[in-house]
Amino acid sequence: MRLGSVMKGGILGIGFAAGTWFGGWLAIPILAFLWGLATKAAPFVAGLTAGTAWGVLLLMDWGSGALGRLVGRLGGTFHVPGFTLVLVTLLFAAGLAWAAARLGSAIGAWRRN
Amino acid sequence: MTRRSAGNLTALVLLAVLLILGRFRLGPVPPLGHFLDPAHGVWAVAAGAELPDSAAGGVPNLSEPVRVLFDDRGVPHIFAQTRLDAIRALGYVVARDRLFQLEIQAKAGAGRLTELLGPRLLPLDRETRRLGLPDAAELKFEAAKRAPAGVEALNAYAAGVNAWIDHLRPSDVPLEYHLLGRRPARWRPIDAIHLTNRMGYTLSFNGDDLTHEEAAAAVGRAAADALFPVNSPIQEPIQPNGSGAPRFDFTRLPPPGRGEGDLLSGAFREESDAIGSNNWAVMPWRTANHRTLLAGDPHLQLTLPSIWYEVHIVVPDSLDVYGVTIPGLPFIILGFNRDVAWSFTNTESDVLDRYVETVDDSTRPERYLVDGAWRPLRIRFDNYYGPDKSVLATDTLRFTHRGPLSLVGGRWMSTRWTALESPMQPGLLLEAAAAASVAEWQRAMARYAVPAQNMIVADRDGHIAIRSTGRFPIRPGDGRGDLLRDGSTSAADWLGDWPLESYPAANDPKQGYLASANQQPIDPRISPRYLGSNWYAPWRALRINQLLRADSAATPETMMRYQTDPGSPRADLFVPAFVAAGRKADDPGPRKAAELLAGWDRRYTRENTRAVLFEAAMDELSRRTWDELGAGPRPSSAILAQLLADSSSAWWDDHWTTPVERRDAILRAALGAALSKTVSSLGEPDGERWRWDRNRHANIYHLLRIPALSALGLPIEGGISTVNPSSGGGEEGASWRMVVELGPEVRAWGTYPGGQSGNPASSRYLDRLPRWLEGTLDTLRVPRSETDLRGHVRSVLTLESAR
Repeated sequence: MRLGSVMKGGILGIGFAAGTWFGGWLAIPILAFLWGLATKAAPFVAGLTAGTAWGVLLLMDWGSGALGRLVGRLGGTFHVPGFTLVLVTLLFAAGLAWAAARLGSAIGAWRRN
Repeated sequence: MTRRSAGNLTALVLLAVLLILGRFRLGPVPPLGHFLDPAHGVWAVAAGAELPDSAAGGVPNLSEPVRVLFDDRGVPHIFAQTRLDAIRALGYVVARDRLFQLEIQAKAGAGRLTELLGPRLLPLDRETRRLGLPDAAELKFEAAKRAPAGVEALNAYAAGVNAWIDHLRPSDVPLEYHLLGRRPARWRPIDAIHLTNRMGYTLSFNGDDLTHEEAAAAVGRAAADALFPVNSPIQEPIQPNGSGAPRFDFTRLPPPGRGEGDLLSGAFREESDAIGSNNWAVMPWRTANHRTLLAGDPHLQLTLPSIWYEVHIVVPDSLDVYGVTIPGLPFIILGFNRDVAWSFTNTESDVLDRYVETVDDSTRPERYLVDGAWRPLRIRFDNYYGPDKSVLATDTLRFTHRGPLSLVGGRWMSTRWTALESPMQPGLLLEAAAAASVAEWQRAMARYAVPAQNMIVADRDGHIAIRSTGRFPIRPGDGRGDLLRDGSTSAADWLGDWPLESYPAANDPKQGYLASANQQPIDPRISPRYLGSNWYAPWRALRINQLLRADSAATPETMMRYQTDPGSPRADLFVPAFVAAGRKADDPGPRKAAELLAGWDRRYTRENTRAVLFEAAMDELSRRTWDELGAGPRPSSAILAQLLADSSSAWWDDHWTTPVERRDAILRAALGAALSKTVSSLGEPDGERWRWDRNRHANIYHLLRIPALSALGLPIEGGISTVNPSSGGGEEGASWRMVVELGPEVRAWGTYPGGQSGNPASSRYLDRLPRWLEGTLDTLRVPRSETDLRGHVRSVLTLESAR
C-alpha cells in the first residue's frame, strides 16, 4: 500500500473517531459515504478503518480495568461471551462503513461516467 | 445482474438493515447505533467507572464552595460551610454514584415503575397505588410545603441531584439506562417522600389481622389467639425486665376448634424467623478499655447496589456525622458523630388496621356506611404510563376517612396505617446527628413517627439508651389491632397515639448493656398495653443477651464477632427434643437422624454438616404439627417451642390418621422424613454435600434482577434465627454492619455487601463483598479536617455555586 493511501486511511480513521466522539454513531455511515463518493479507494478500507477507529475508542478506557469488567458483565447480561459484544461493536461500525462507502463509491462512479 | 450490481445491492440492503438496527429497538435489544457507540453508548460506562483524581461541578445556590474528599474506600467526606450546602453536595455525590438506584427506588414508591421498565411492572405499580402510598406522598408533600423548613432539605437535596443530572456526560449515564434505552429523569423533592413511604411499607406493613382471621377460620378464635398471640411465650424484652434471664411463659395451647368467620385464603403471608436486625450497646464498666461500645446490623433485602451509601459530613461548629444514608434521603440514618452513636432495628409493632366496610355497591362503591349514615368515598382515577408515555391502564382508587379501600377475600376493607398519615421528618435525623449526648439525641428523635424503630443510642460519657420510637395508635375496646375491625361504626376508630413516656424504653440499665433484635419490646407483665402481635421468635435476642451477659470485658472485636455468631438457641431448644424422641424410635431412620443431630454442636458454621438435617426436621415438624391449618399461616417457632412442653396436646395429632399421635411420635416422624429427604437430595450424611455452605447462600440481586450484574450463590455462615440470620432465598441479610467505640477519639468499623458505586464496571461495585462474607469490618476513617485524610484521598471533588 502506498504511503498516500495509508495517510488517507489514517485521516479517515481520525475522521471516524472524531465524528463518533462529537457527533455519534451516524458519523460512520455519513463519512464513509462521502469517502466512497470522493475517492476511488476500495470500500473495505473504510470498513477496516471504521472498525479500527471504534476499537481505538474502546481501548481508551482499557487501563483502569473497567472495560474488562464491563465486557464480562455485559456478555453475561446478553448470555454471550463478553468478547462477542466487542466483536459485534467493531463489525457494526465496519459493516456500516463498508456498505456506505460502497454505495458512495457506486454513485461516484455513476456520476463520473 | 453483474457482480458489481450484486455487490451494490448487498451494500444497500446491509446499510438499510444496520441503520434500522442502529435506530430502532427490536424487542429486548436496544437501538444498536447509540448502544454500541464507544463514545456515547454502553461502552462509555467504563470511562465513568472510576473516581477521577479531581473533578469540579456546579450546584445552584451553594453559599460557599464545598470540597468532597473520597477516601480509599470510596467514602465521600463532605466539607461544607452550611448544612444546606452539605445536603446539596450529598445529593450530588449520591447521584454521581447511584443515579439509577435513585430513580428506580423513587418510582417504586410512586407506583410508576412502568414508566421506566414497561408494562410487566403494572401489577406492582397497581399494588403500590392501591395501598395508597403515592396518594399519601402527595398529601404529605402539600402539608410539608406549608412549613417551608420541612421542604428546605428536600429541595436542597434535589438541587444537588439535578445539578449532576443536568450536566451528565455520556460516560456518566448509568449502564441500566443504556440497557433500557431510557434517559435519567430529574429528581423531584417529593421523590424523597415516595422513598420514605416505600421504607414504611417494607418495615411496617403487616397482615396480623388477616393472619388471625385466616387461622380463626380454620381452627377457631381461641386457638388462633394462642397460635398468633399478642404476647410472645418467650420473654427477653428490649426494655430489660430485671430478671436477668429469659422467661418461658409456656402455657397449654387450647386444642384446635371449629372454624369461625370467613376464610381469607392466602390473603397475606410473611416469613418470620428468617430475617431481622440487631443492635446493642455496652456501658463502659462492661468493656475492656472502659469506653462505650455500640453495634448495629440492620437486616434487609440485599441488593446491588446496596440500599446504603456511606458518607461523612462535616459542617464547622454544626455537624460532624458519619454513617449510612439511603440514596434519595437528605440525611444519615444510622451512624455516629464524635460524641454519640446510634442504630435501629424494626419495632415490628402493629400500626395498621383493616376495617370491614359496608358499601353501597359491591362492585363500584361510591359511599360507605358509618354510624348509620352514608359517607362519600374519596375517589381518584389514576393512569399508568408506559415508557413511551402511552396510557397502559387506568384504576379507580377509593378512600374512606381511614384510608384506601380495597377488596380483600371478597370483602371491602379500608386500611388505616400510620405510614400513610405521618409526615416526612427530614429535620429530625439532621438535628439528632448534631447531638452531644444520649439525652439530646433522644430529645431530637422524640417526634419520630414512621416506621417505628428500636433506636439504640450511646454516648462518650458512658450513657446508653434504647427506645421503641414511632407512632403507636391507641385503639378502642380491648386495644387489639390484630383483629379485623367493624368499619360501620366510628367507635372502632383510633383514639389517638401513645404518649412518648409510654414507649418501651430503658436508660443506663443495671445490667450494663441493652439489646434489641425485633423481639417484643416490653414484658407484658410490666406493660400489658397492645403494641403488636405474632412477634418474631426471640431466638436472636436470646443469643445476643446470652453473649453479652457472659462478656464483662467487651471489645470492638468481640462485638464484630457477635454480629456473625453462628450459635442458635432455637437449635439448643429443639435438638435435645428430637434426639430424645428419636433414640426411642423402633425405626432405624429416626434413630440414625437422632444420632446425627446428637453429634452436632448446634452452630451454623459454614463447614457444619448437620444444620441441613435439622432445618429439614424443623420444616417437617412444623408442617405435621400445624396440619389443621392447612395451607394457611404457620405459627412462629416460639409457639412450636411452647407446644414442645406439652407432650399430649391435641395439636400433635395428625388429623389425617386414625391413631392419636403424641409429641414424640411426631418428632420421630419428622426426623425420619427429614433424613430420608435430605439423603435423597444430598446423598449420605458424611458427604461434602451436607456442608452448610453448600446449601445456604446469599443471593444479592441487581435492582433489575439481571444475574450477570448480581452476586449469587455466595456461601455464608448463619441460619434461620442465628444472630446473622439467613433466609431460604438468601435475599435478605446484614445490609450494614457497624461497631463504634466512643472514647476521646471515636473509632468505628463497618461494611456492607456491595460497594459505593452503582456502576457494575467499577472496582467499587463489589469491593466490600469479600470482607462482608468473611464477617470482618473495615476501619472507618473519620477525619476532623481535610488534612487528617492526607495519604488516604483517592479523589477530590470541588463544588461551586452555579446558576
